[in-house]
Amino acid sequence: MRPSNGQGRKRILPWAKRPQLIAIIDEDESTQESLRNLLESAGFMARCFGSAEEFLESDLYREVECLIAEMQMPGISGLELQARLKGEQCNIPIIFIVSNGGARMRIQAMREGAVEFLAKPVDRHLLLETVRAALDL
Amino acid sequence: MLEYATVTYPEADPPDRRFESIIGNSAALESVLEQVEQVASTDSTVLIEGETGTGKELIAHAIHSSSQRYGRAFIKLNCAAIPLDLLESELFGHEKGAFTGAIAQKIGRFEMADKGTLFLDEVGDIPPALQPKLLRVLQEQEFERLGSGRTHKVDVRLVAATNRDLEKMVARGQFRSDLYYRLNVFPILLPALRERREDIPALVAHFVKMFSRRMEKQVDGIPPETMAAFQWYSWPGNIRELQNLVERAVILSRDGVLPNPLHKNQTELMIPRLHRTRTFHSSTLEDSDRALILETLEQAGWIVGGPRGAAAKLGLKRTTLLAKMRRLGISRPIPQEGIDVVGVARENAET
Repeated sequence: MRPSNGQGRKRILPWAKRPQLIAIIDEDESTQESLRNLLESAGFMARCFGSAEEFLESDLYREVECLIAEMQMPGISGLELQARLKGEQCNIPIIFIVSNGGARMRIQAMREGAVEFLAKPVDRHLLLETVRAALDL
Repeated sequence: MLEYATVTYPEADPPDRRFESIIGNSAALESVLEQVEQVASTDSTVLIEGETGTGKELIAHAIHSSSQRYGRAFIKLNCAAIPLDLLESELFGHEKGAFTGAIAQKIGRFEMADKGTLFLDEVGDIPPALQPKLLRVLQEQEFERLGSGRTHKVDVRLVAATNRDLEKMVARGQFRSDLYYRLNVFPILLPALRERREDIPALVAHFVKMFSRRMEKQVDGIPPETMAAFQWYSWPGNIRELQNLVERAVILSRDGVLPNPLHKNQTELMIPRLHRTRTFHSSTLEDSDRALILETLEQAGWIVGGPRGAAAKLGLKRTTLLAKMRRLGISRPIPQEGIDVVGVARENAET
């Protein structure tokens, strides 16, 4: 961790916004990269993870302000990840990337917290718009 | 000189219903969600009916999100919020010069919603002159922009909503019957908040969390009397009214305790004292039963059984009272995740 960070932040004037941290969880490294590039070019900070486990172990979830994750992931699924974050009192908005099916799963996710769904392949314009909506909460 | 064609898009609506979650698990809500799931995968038109503030837009968005169109546009238009003479252009768009003031080409909502879902709120406010046009686009999936002869083909799923009684409007000749039948393919009736009182504690906790985060104000406790007031009130403005009152309560909160934001008159109206015989606002037998039971429970410190319990005071068997409470959706305000209900009995708090 960067030791100066916590103190430095407090001195920043409230209207001088620091870049907001967004986490990306996707098994595919090229998807991770392209999403990261897209978000960074729009002025956000982005960190990539290959799986939900990796994300949860990083402890970074407490600092993340928005999460972009695949709904159907090997290991901990999107719904399970959402439940675990909720259990940790971590109610960050989640943008689920859904590749197919699962209407019931989507309704379930809507009942568990703040979510939006994007289809694969992800429309870049729509993704940025959705991220902004999420951070605006 | 070259003239550049300018195209204006309707101003994007605030993305207020995105990232909202569906709160509660009452039977009434479960039945709505079951219908959402049943109809979502089809392309059928859905008509959402319900009082103001019951969450029609949220349910419309849920239909979109659980349909196969989820990755596409969800476009909304409140037909009551647009001046009548501009509504046609909002829906279908116009060409430059189509009418005075049409200084640029404009894309309508139907075009914006192509491949996605269009949510028309307050559809009962569409004027009779425009109703045939709406019927046509629903039936043929085609329309023309104002001032243009070119026909546009679209693929739009329509979800409409209203808080007016369209059937009555049809009978009075204010709404075309053929359009009504076309809209009424799959009606979903949203329950009023007073019909799903058991969801109130969860909704309150949700909004408290939301506003305390937004205002950076810590709220640790919802006193039982605040929660009880919320559960008694008749909520004519439904969830929106609840949300606004929680916002007010969070603003007024001190030392992390959420005060009762309901006006004293409102509280008196809805909490009839045992000795008061005057009937109160929107009184039904069920409302007065609920009020009586809640007050007795409060007095008994939420003890149901035993000689000093509420059942004995009401002259009921314990099991009868429990069954009544279940039916009326009365439950003891319980601590919600992350927010503890202040565990002070009312008598103690008052002494």
